[in-house]
Amino acid sequence: MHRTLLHRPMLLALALVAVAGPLHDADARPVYSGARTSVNRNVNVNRNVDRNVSRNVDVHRDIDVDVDRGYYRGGYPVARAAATTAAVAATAAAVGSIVYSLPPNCATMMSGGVAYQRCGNAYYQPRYSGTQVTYVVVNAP
Amino acid sequence: MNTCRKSIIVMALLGLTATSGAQPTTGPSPAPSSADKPDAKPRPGASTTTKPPEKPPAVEPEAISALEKMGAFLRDQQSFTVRTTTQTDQVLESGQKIRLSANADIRVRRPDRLRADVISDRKQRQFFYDGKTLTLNGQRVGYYAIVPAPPTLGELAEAIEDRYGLELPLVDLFYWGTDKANLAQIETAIYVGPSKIGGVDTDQYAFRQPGLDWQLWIQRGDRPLPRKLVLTTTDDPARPEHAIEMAWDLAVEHPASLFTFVPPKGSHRIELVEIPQRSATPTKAQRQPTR
Repeated sequence: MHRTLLHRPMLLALALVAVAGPLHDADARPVYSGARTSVNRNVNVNRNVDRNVSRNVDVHRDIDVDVDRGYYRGGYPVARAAATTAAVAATAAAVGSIVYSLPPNCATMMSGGVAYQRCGNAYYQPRYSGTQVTYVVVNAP
Repeated sequence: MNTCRKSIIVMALLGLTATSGAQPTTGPSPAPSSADKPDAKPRPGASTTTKPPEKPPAVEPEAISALEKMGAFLRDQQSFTVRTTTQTDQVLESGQKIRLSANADIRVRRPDRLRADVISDRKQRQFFYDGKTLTLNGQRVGYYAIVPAPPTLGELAEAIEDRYGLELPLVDLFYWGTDKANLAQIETAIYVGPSKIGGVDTDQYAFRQPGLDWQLWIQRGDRPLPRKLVLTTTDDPARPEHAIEMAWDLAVEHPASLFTFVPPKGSHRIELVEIPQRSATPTKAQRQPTR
């Protein structure tokens, strides 16, 4: 894996691709899903129209199974069933990919007013996707 | 949209002519059996024709009218607290259902204040809305996001859902009683019968709409509040369910500080990701990934 220098907008674009891509593939199969949570919404907006994009939205919006880091120990890691990319090992994480959980032994660091998680040699930028915290793999800030 | 409006008006008129007051009929209102299914589609005006009387209309006017009364009552509540207990099914790839629980305290002051504290089996989240910004805060995870928000609650729910894919807890609360309530989607509506929820007398109704069966328990008497809501997702073979029970405090004085977010020590502000908008020209992110 070689590293490339990426500008921030480019990085964001890649990150979005990383979210839409795998879920798009998974949509063809019976996939992890959740119950609808609203009577008045998410019919026309998120399910039937433009399924590829919306599926992605749906997953983030409805899933309540993601685990706050350090909160949930033991038991079946339900969230990982949904995660299309798991942070198995820090060295395996490709820049621009998005993970739902971090490898162990990470430390928060600040750079340019932005919070990052440093896990070994890998850097992750936390973000909210809906109410779920996801982490984008980034180059060293 | 015009046809939607029309059918709402038709339903409303039927409701007015068919019921005198809020009292539901005491007679049995059996659900259409499977043999009736071909007829279980909405047929505007069906109840006014001289059809065999043993078949109830697919959309019982009293059920729609109960929904509207509830909506109107909710709309009139200026400052209140609702505490919810929620059970939500998640479906694993194997088709196995996992049921998770959550509690949410939702504090509202119309037209432009909201505070919600959600504690689920897996995470804690807070929402602060003050008419200018919306803050999403994860206390335990130590991250918060602040985004600009529309000036009223009426617009907030839709705006953040469209832009961020973010759903407020018990979001239907902010649609019922407004022109955004999706009554036109309803294909069948029936009165099921009386039911006690949390010691409160309610009437149970059942509705069907595309992809969704739902049931609603509305408090009897002069405070027609929703007490319980069950959603069954019918376009998923696992038919996952989402069930909410609600306890209400009306006419509550909320202190202003309740709606103001103060970042906890050691927490960090992070981005709330916008979802890709469906525009005519796909953005770079929406094109096929090159990997």
